[in-house]
Amino acid sequence: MTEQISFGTTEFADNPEPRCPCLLLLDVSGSMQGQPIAELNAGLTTFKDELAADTLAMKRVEIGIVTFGPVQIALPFQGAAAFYPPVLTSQGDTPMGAAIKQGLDMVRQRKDEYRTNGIAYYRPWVFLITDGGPTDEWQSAAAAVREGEASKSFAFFAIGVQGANMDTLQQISVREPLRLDGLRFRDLFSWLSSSLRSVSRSTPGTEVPLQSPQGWASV
Amino acid sequence: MTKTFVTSAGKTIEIGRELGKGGEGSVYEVPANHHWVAKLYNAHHQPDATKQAKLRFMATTADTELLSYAAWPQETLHKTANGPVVGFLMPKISGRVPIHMLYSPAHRRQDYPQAAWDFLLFAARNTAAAFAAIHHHGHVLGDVNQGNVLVGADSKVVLIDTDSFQINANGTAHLCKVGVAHFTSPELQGVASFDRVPRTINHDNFGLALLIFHLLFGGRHPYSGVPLRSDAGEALEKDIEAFRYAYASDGQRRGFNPPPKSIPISIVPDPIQAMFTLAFTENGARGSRPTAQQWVTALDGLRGQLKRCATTPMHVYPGHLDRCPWCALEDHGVIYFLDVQAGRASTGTVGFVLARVWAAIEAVPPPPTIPIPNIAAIAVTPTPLPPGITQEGTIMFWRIVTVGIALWLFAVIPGAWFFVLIGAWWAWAAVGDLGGDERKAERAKRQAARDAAQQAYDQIVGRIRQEVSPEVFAKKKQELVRLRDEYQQLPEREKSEIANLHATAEARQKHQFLERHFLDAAAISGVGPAKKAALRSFGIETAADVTWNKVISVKGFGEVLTRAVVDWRKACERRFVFNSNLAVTEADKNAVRAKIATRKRMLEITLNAGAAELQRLRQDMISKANALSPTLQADSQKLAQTQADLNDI
Repeated sequence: MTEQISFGTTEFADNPEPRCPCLLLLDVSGSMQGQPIAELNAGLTTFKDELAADTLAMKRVEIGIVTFGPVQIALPFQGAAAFYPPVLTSQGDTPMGAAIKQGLDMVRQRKDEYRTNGIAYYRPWVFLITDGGPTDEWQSAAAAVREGEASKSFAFFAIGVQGANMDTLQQISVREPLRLDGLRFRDLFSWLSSSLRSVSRSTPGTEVPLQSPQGWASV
Repeated sequence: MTKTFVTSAGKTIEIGRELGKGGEGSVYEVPANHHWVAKLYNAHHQPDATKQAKLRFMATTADTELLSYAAWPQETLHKTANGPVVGFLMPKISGRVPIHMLYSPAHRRQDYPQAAWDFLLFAARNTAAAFAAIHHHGHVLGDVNQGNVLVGADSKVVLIDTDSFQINANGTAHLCKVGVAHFTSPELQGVASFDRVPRTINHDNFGLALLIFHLLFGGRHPYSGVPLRSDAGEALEKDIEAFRYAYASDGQRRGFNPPPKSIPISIVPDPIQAMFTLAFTENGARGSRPTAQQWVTALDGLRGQLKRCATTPMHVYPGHLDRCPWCALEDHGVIYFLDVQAGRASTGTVGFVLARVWAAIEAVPPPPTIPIPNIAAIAVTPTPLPPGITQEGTIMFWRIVTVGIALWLFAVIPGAWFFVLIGAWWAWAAVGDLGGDERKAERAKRQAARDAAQQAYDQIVGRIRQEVSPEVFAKKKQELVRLRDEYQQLPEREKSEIANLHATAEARQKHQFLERHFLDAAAISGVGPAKKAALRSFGIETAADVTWNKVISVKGFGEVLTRAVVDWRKACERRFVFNSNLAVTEADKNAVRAKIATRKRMLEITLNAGAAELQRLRQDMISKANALSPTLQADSQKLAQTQADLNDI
């Protein structure tokens, strides 16, 4: 048999643009059943459509999704061009702590891949969206978030849907958690895609002033 | 907004529809002249006095050289003659893409599948020529970036966003106030704002060298590499500031190795390597970066000595190399230039190269999606009600009159309140019935029309979602990804299955050995011919068949007898000696190899056909989209219309 050649890393040769990873930690616990999960799915579709309209963002933005209840990698990091949002269904409880740790692990691994392949990257974004409070041990996850924020290895945002335990979110996230107005997931993801687009046009490593979350969040 | 403007020459000009929107303003069609477009600033970015002077100067000094290389302002636009500048006319640019679409290997293979390295070299040379023209006029681009250099199918280049250039107006410098940091030179990194920083031609020459590098080296940024120290690779602008040019001969000292599988710097001859080094390191920052004109000369020289590889006409490379660099990269699984024609023609599996086949698959762009119109946003005028149907307003008017009269009667004859109430109630109902039947009929008609339109719309949207959805394409591609992964794992699988043969060899041999020991011939105390017959009738004939559970379930076998039979089996086992020579025969191995080879052939055929299959799916979807689009438009329009009609009644 002729020798095979490894294929794994040509994605970086094909597209050596600086990467802008964005990880979504999505709560799909039982309480999201019905309208909320349907709106969340619709929001993800909006997210994809708006990113796909921008050729530069398509090369630079990478999306990963971890769902929790139970913790699952719904989507490993993927370029926006190949990002087809999975259809999420609601199920178990809210193991938020484990999900955060899993997510931060994924971010760390992806960054290592960038470094070994000589690809520049922007500070990763981690978005936690939940409608409840953690049902597992979350204190160590919160410590990991604080540590990562302090060393600027990622930016962590927490968004509470109606019913979320905002006090706990406040203790997890260094930044002030935002409260989603009603079920305006579509507006949220539309905001996220335009923010990612402006980040993907800036320089890796610089702080980009975020647009105001007006229109979907109440602070 | 105003549709008519006055040009600086005093002519009145009308603008058409919006073509595009930027941060500062929008670009509009000019119906009177299709070679022109109009840029108009939005309310928040109206040009101040200096910017107006800058635009006026640019418009009056536009010459053929500038106009052939840049979207240069030709005439300023004003709301009234001699009023403030609110925009300008410039040449229309069409059929060109931002330079990042060309230097990105993935995008280039999709949008310019015929472009080989010589095309990129031409584009690099023309970019340098455009810079040279601007510099020749004493101006500086300032904000060089991946979006404001546009390249056409003829490799010619046009610079856009010229109103941000730093313009030298007879000694007065109008500064460029913007910049994209990862195209900003090391000496300007960390500048908080460009508002007061005069740019030099040497700064531009950094951006130019970056663009040329991106074009010639597969879209790589010269300051990203594999970090050798922890402080390197954290942020691109820090790496630029520290001159960490990853392809420098002393790159390791600077903190980077070139990225794996990247195009080696040696692809260009030494003098050009030296130009890159000068542009990206300390000496150049002191003012001696290669100029645009020097790049034009050097790249023209390189253009004159290109070679073509025998493997494929897509492999074009500089003549100083002995071996084709693209073939060398393909040996590492990286395909930069793909011969699309050759890829499509091959159907067999001879000379199957996964990397090449996969690149052909990747080169098929996903089909465009059909936007589903937002019904609420379609502007329609409701059909007026047919004459004879009382308007809602008329009924309301008569009801108010009724209530008025009733209140007056209450006041005048309070004793008769009961009769007044009855009368008012009757009048209220009677008024509501004014033209009631016609209204009801019309409403029912409109409701039916709306429902029919809604149904038609839902149906067409459903069909589009199902038949033209990008998911079908994505699914096919994921399927190919799965097959590719399986293909790559085949050698591993073959190895592990053969290893497995060894692991199970002893057990198989032992089983064969035990199968040769028949119960009939065995002397087991307490187990006579009758008992043996009983065992036989339960399928226990050789030592291989004996297990505790099997034997004890045979009628007449208690613990003692069962133990005796099992002990006999154990005694047989003890006599077994594993013969390693017979462990795994060549026939066993060949069976595994044949199985894997068949699978491999099948995967090769499927993967080989993958690109064509995706292409067919894409074409199919495009033609379906073309067929369904007019219906969708018509149905959406109809739904919006009937909905508006229904709301109106």
